[in-house]
Amino acid sequence: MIPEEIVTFLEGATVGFAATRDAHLVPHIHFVAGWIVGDDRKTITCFFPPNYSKVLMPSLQDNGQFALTVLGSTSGPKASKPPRPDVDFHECYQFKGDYATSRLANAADAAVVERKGESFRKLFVPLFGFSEEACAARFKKPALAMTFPVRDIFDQTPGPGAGRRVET
Amino acid sequence: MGEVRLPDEIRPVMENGIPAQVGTCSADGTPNATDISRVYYVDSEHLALSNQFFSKTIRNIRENPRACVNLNDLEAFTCWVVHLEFDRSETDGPIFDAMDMQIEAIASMTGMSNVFKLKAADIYRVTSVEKIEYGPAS
Amino acid sequence: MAKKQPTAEDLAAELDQKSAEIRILQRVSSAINATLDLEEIYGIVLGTMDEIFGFHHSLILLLDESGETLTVVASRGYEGQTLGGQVRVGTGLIGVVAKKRRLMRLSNLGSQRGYIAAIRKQMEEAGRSGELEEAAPVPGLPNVESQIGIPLLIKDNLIGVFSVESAEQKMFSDREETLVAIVANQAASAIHNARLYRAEEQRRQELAELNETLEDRVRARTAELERANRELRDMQTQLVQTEKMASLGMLVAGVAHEINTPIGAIAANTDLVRRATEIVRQRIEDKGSLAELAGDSRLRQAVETLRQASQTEQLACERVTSIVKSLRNFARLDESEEKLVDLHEGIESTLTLLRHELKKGVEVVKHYGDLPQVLCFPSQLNQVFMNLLNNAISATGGKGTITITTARDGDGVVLRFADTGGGISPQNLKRIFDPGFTTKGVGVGTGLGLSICYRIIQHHQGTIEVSSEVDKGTEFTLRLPIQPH
Repeated sequence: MIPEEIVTFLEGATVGFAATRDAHLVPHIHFVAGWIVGDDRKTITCFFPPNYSKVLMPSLQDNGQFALTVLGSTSGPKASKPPRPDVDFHECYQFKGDYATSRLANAADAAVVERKGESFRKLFVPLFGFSEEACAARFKKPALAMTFPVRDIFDQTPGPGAGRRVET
Repeated sequence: MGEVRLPDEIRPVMENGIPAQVGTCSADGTPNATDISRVYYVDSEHLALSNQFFSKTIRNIRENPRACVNLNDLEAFTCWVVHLEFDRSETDGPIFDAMDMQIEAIASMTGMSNVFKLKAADIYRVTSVEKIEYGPAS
Repeated sequence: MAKKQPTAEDLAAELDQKSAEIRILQRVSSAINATLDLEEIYGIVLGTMDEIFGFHHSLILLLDESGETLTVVASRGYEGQTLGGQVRVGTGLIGVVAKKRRLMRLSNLGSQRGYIAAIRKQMEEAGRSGELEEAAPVPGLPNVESQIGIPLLIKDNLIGVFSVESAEQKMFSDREETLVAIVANQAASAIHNARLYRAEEQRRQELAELNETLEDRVRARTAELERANRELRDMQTQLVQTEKMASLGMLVAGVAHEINTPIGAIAANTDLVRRATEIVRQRIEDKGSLAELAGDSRLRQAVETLRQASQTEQLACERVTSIVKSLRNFARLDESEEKLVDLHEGIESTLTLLRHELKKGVEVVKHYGDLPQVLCFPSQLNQVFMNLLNNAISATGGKGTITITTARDGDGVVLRFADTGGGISPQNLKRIFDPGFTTKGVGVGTGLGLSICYRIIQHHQGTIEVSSEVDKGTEFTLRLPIQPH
């Protein structure tokens, strides 16, 4: 079960990307536009943009191996008190598990992605100088929803604790 | 297999400071996704990643030399997907020096010189480059 | 995907832009190299960056003598004081550029700083603060995003760093980097030349100041030398006095003998006079009349003896008086002041005191000219005469001739003391006036005699010369002004 504070982190986190691998052990990286934690806190459903990689589904169907990395901001357990936006967006966790199901994304999924796009814009427009248009393009209405049960969680926040397995 | 070359237009993207995403895979087939603040251009067929903290990535590469890097150019609505194969690790020489110099500049400003040190410059050969254009939001 | 081919218009526009940039760089290069004023060079470099290339924030830092710190000497586009700001070599982009002596271009510095700051925070929370150093602030934009640092090198020597910064996310391009590097290289050589010139100017100014103060320094030095000279003179006076006492000491034996002779005569006469007087008393008592006394031959003999004794005593007394007078004349202890004297008197007194030495077989021949009185310190000149005559007697070995010649010579007088002694070898002759030089053997002379004579004559604004021929003799010539200035 995903710890409560990490669920909170996932709700506020802004950047997600995933790794799969094909039958030849070649890894692939995929942009993940949004995510939600299942009610039982055992699964995560990821939302992929319309032009998601054509190797995503074949990889998942070949071996099911999936790794989701989420970069978070101030809502995580490592958030500074008082908040320090200059450093706090670097909280990061990786969730590993096996592909379970997938379906077409719906309006509720689109609303999640829209919220992610909004928080991404707030955080990164000042930090990287992205334009509003560039941010919006990254968070288009999603096309695919994919669910996987979380097997392992790793703390990937840069620093001395990076790589530590989180108790589930 | 013909040599794959990095196009000139990818170079500014590698230097734009936006973190890149790196995917690796262990020998038993478990993928790993991490982000990295910079990818260094070596020549048109090679790029380098700094070997500092991502120990899982390094372990995976030693088991399975294949890696995938996504480079983001948000303003151009573009993502570059570059597949790599680990070639060698350098602890001196011009590539190492250039990377070390940049890391030292940033680390020394934040009082992290003792911690944030370049261990090695891991040099990768490019095996494929793909430009994904996702266009402006409709 | 096929790369878009540039059109002819694109190429023409690029060519135009490059030509314009080359023209600008040429102008900047000429302007920088046309001045040796550092401030002007800084102004041209930073102004070019700002107004022509649109890089609004730039710094010039120069390496301190220690080689460990860079100091901001010029800046443009910053709020607040950046001048004098310092960067340690090895810290931040500027410090690392200095350390590695290589150009560096970085972008998105904000996010990279944030990334490392996040790690720092994690380490602090993990209780590993001990591994961290203090974050060192560097001069420049606090929110810098893109930066180019270029080492200012003269041959292989680092003199400073030129930094261009921007708070915008936009990265500096290769073309911009090249432009900045060209200007920075021009600036490095111009700054180097200007500093050399400034150092040269400073040296020149110091020299000019030195010249200005030279006169004062010469005055001070002269005063110092005068004081030293006075001290030396006092010391010489003491030496002269010591030498005089030594000369007198040597004379005592001779003079005692001289005085002994008349005293001996007087002593011998005393008994004679007593006995003659006794005879006279008895004869007067024994004889009853003057006629008897008149016929007494014994009485007449006694009276004659008394008369002769009286004469002898008178001569003896005169002799003693003469010797004492000569001694007093020689010493002239009561005459330490300058006064007009007859130099012949001094020579004569000296000869009197030396009579005991001379009478063994030295003939003194005098050719005295008509000398005017000379303004001098008589006791000092007597000491010179004593010294020269004593040396002459020694040279003759007690048998020979000493010729003393005096004459007037214009405003001065010339005195020559020549002997027929063994002469002096040429190598000894060269050193004869050196203090401590003596040929008389240890314990015989002080070795200061002639050097003191030299000093005394010099003090009287005169000269002393010597000429000598082995086996023929030696002649000392003194020339003294009648009225020294």
